[in-house]
Order: sequence, then C-alpha cells, then structure tokens
Amino acid sequence: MSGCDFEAVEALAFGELTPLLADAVSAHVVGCPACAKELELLRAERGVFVERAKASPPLPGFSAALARSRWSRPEVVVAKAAPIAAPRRFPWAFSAIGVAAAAAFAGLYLLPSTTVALIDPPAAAPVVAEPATGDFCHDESFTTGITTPPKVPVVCEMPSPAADPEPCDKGCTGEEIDTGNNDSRVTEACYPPLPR
Amino acid sequence: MALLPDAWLVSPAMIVEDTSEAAKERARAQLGSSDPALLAAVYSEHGPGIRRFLQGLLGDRAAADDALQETFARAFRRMDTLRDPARIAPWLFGIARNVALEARKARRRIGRLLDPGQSADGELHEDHQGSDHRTPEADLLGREAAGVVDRALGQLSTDRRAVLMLRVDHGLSYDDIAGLMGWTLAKVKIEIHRAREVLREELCGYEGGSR
Repeated sequence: MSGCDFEAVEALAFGELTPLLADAVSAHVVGCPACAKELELLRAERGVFVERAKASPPLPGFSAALARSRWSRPEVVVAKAAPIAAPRRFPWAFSAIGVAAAAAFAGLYLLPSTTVALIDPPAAAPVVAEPATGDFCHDESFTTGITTPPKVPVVCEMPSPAADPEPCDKGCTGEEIDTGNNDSRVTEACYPPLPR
Repeated sequence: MALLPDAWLVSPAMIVEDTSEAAKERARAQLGSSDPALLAAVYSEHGPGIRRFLQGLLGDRAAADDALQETFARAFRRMDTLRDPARIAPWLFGIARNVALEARKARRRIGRLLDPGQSADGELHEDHQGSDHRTPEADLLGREAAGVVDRALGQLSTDRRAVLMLRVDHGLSYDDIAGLMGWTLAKVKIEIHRAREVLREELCGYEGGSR
C-alpha cells in the first residue's frame, strides 16, 4: 500500500501508459485493494462525465461561428487624422520668450563679471565728500538770514584757504557771514539776488 | 461505490479511444486551411467537448452556446498561429477558457451577480436534454449523472472546476493543463486532487438516484 503510485493508476485509467507499463500496473492493481479501489473511483469519475456528455443537447450550427469569424475578420485600423493646428495669434511670442530666457541665463550664469549676491552685504557708512570748488552749496547752516532763500543754489567759488576772503563775483549779494569762530574762509554761501 | 450504475464505470479502452492517434491525425490534417469544410470538421470534432467545458464554467446553456461560437470564431481567425496541430485541443480549450472568463466578467459588469442557472446555494442547474434516439432509462441515467457532476462542480471555484473538467472529462494531460492555465505542474495536481475529493464525495453520496 505504501509503495502504491496512484498517478500510475490514473495514467492507466486514462490510457497514458505504454503497453509494457500498462501491463505492469494492471498486474499490481489486481493484487492491491487500494489501487483497485482507486481505479474503480477513477473509472466512475470518468463514467459519470461520459454519461453527462451523452445527455448534452445537440451542438448549435457551425455556420454561425463561421459567419462570426468572417464578420469580425477585417480589422482595418484607420489611422487617426492629424489635428488641424489653429493659427497662432502671436507667432513671435515663443521665440521672444526663448530669447529672453536665454539672455537671462547667460546674464546670470555665463558672464564672469556678473555676480549674484544671494545675501545683501552690510550697508556701508555714508561717505560725505568734502565740498570742492564749483560744487553747489546746500548746507542750510550757511543761510544768510534771508527769510526765503531760493532753493536752487548757484555755483560758488570756494575761496582758497591761503587767500583772503573775497566777495562773490557771481552776482550774489556778497554778504559774508561770520560764523563766530574767526575763520572766514569757510563761511561764504552765495545765493542769487532776490527777485524784485 | 457498489450502488453506482454499471454504465458509469468506463473501461480504460473507452478512454483511449477518445484520445486516439487517429483523431489527432484527423485534426492535424484539418488545419492550415480556411476551407469551410475543414473548419466544419474541426467544429464537429471538438465542438461538443468545448461546449461542455463552457457550460460547466458558465452554468448556462445559452451563454455556453454563445461562448462556443465566439471560441470557434476566434480559433478560425487565428488558425495560422497554432504551431503544433497535434495540440489543437489544449489550444481550443485555452481560447474557450478566456472567452468564458470574459463572459463572466461581462455578466458581472452588467449587474447579474448570480449566474442565471445558479441558485442561491451555488448549485448549477444545467439544461441537459436527452437525445431523441436514447432510451428513457439511458436518458434518466444521463440526467442523474449530470446532476452528480453539476452538484460537484457547483461547489468548486471556476479554476478548480476548469481543471477538473479538463482532466476528467476531456482527458488532457497534466502538462497540457499546466500550460493552458499558466500554472506549475504541482499546482495543477493539487487543484485536481482537491476537486476530485469533492466529486468523489458526491459520487459516494449517490445512492441509486435517491438524491
């Protein structure tokens, strides 16, 4: 019983063995109750399906299957037509955007003189340039007591530190202002004559 | 087992006759041509088995007939893709299985959760009509056999049902079934063994038509 090969018995039942093997398995089945029972069950299984097949209704007509195969045979693949492109309203727009993007890229990354500061540098202390000769005079502290001085100063000549103070020759009133520190070289501030 | 009718116990010679070399030769000769006469020969030779297989999977005669036509329509269209004419039966069963699965899916899609021929307990009630030339006794025996098979098949999943029918009803080899189902040989053997247990339970429970 332990050495029984039910697969061989099944192969015998289904006629899948060579004649030599079939004879050998048949001889074993005759003397083995377990294999004999297995063969009987296999025959019963098969037989019940055979009886069921006999009770099946007749096959439907062949013409329907043939017609169906022919109806669905021409599987013509129709290529899709390419969509008609609508005319562009601004055909230059993409080119312009591209050029701008390229220029921005070149400006940011390619030009070596240009650096991009990701962090703002600390603000430098304001540099106050000393006034030189020919500069405009802005300092309100140099007003001469005129109540409404014109806001547009004229160009004045600053006196040389070595020379004596001279009156302005630009049509100013020429008044000198004593700042009180005995240094008249830095006290002049000229304004155009008041409108009459 | 002793109570089973003698007609249900077939001899090995009867099985061998179904898978004879002559049948294979005939099938081989019929292929490679789209001649309607040859296609009709293929249909008449393999149609009944394919229809039984489809009816077992779908549980509905009308659906099985429709699936049968679809199976052969596909087979006729792709006949030139069959590499080995000797293996036309597994090839046809493979197409039939795909058609049945698509039919079941379509049926589920349209909302019918239960098969028309299937009751709430999952039992198949197939439409088995006796042939006109059979005796009433043979007709009754066939209907009872069909009842036993259908009760067993009704307890099985679709795949297990398919492999049981392919092996026992249609006599396909384990290798052919494995190739058809896309399973390993070991899985095929296990599934058929478990399906057989259910079928044998139904067979042993049969007491001379009392069920």
